[in-house]
Amino acid sequence: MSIHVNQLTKRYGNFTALDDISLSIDDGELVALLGPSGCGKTTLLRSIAGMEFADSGSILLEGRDMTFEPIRHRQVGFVFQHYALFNHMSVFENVAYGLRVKPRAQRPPEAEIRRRVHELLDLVQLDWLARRFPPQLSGGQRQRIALARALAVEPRYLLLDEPFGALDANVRKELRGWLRRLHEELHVTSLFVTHDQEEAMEVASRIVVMNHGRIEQLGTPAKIYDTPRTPFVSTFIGNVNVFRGCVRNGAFHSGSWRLPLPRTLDTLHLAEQNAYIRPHDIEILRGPAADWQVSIRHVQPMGSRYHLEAVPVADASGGPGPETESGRITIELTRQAFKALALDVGHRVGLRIHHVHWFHGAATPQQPIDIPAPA
Amino acid sequence: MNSTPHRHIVARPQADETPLVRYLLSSLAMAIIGLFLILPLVAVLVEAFRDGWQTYMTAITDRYTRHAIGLTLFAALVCVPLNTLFGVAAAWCIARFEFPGRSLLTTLIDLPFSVSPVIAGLVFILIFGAQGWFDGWFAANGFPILFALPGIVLATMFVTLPFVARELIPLMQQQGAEQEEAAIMLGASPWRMLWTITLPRIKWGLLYGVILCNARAMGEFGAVSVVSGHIRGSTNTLPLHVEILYNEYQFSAAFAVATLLAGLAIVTLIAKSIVEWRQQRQWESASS
Repeated sequence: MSIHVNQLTKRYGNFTALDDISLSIDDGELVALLGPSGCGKTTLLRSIAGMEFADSGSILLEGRDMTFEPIRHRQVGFVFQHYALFNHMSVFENVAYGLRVKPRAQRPPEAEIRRRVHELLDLVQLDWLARRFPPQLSGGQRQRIALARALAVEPRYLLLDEPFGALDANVRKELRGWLRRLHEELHVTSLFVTHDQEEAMEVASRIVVMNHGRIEQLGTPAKIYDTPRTPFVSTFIGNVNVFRGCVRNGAFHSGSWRLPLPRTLDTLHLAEQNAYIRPHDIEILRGPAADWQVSIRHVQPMGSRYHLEAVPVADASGGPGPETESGRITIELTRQAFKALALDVGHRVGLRIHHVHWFHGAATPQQPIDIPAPA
Repeated sequence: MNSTPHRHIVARPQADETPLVRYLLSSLAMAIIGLFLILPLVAVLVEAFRDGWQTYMTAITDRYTRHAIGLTLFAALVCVPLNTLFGVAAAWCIARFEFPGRSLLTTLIDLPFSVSPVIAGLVFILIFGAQGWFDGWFAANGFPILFALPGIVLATMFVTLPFVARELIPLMQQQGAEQEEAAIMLGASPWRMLWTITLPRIKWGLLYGVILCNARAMGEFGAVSVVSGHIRGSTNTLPLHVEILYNEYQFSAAFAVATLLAGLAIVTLIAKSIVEWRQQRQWESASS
């Protein structure tokens, strides 16, 4: 039950919603379409479902060209952000709807419909709500009913449009894990849209990162986090410090700061380079054996970890320090590391950088590098 | 989903006005309602029974009155279903699709409200009249439109065209298309979707529009007056019949027939309040 999207393009007037999108999803995968609002992810999902038609390009389901097939030939289950439950029908009738509207020849008998609906309601653990009406349910319950309703017709593909977008944070967290377990159980090829990178990382086996109607990167959550292909991916997935500067003579220069690079990187000799450094790839050191010196301005406990904000301290020659985009450097420490260092606002500490990835200007992706600790 | 503003109005804290101002304002409102609504209604009833029960019964069971009742019912029976069909179709188009001329269509639906009914009647005279576009062709070929039943139905249709559509457009826009999309995604045919999802969701709004449409269809005077020709026992509707009786100085009979129209108005108001109440409840449950 694979999905292939070939060079799909869709415009609304001057706005390009989908710009030459190509994408392959294998049978049984659980894939996230991730991106900021207006990036085209919902348009792509609705095009695959058949609710929108692209201007050019094609959509293949299981190898068959479905670009212009009507919705009911696609065998797609769809879950809407705002549930779209039928408020004038009971929960039972909502789930039974897809079975009842089947053509007479394919419609299961009433007893079979009852059995199937109760089975699905059991699957989403809400059988006790069968007689209620949707307005009487909580948001999380409604979305689970919507999922049961979509699964009732045994779709080959499950498409979810921001399924948890309208829910409270804690319900959202609970439903994420629940969706992943459900997918492990059913193995139906699933594609879900989200703008929440944490949600995508937690649920999906692969992530498609989109921006301005294009696919920026496609890969496993770990791959996308560790080796982002573009500056956009790097900043959109997780936090990152961006240092403006250049590489020359075996070192990265940012402002008056200098970060020595491994010898193997001598080939990197480009005028303008931005260094992207994750907050947790920065180690805090007491003492002089550090790359850079900073002063801590703000300490934010975040449960198991601590976020620190620091500003550069002028070096011995009185230079202005490194140039970051925000003017500050964000550092993330584990709770133990933070306690061991006994840090507080106003302390001066040294930084050591462990991992950097580079982008020249805005595009051309490059490999990230690890900076080994000096011997 | 937008019912929160309504609730704010309902739950609004008592205004800052002094009790005296509030008392004066409500008295003024009551006085105006009494003067312009209750008093005329009472006057109709008093005048109708001035010459006794017997005269009243004679007036409303009179042959011409019965014919006028029949004609009015017939016109409503044709116009209301047709305008209901039109209203649902137009509201569906406008609320669900983007197409060139969409705002023009929305404006045109309001045209019968903004044009004087007399003008509406004259338009039909200009089209179908002896000196009109069709040069009396229909009448010459044994199918008269003016001063006959088709003219009355056409004029009534024109005047009552907006009622159902006007009621449904904002309702369907507010409800959005998601539930309908969900039905299609689940394999329903468009026809099945219309009967199981769209119509049940708009039924109270639809009924409300139908009630108003019906009240207007039965009560329309101006446009029908122009095209009907006032032929007694043939093209006289109830409102026209009231006028004729009054002009013939049969005041009690005129008011007696008028009580029928007043009764229709009261039934309409009661039905309208019930439907409004049900609709409000549905909106609240839909947006909770």
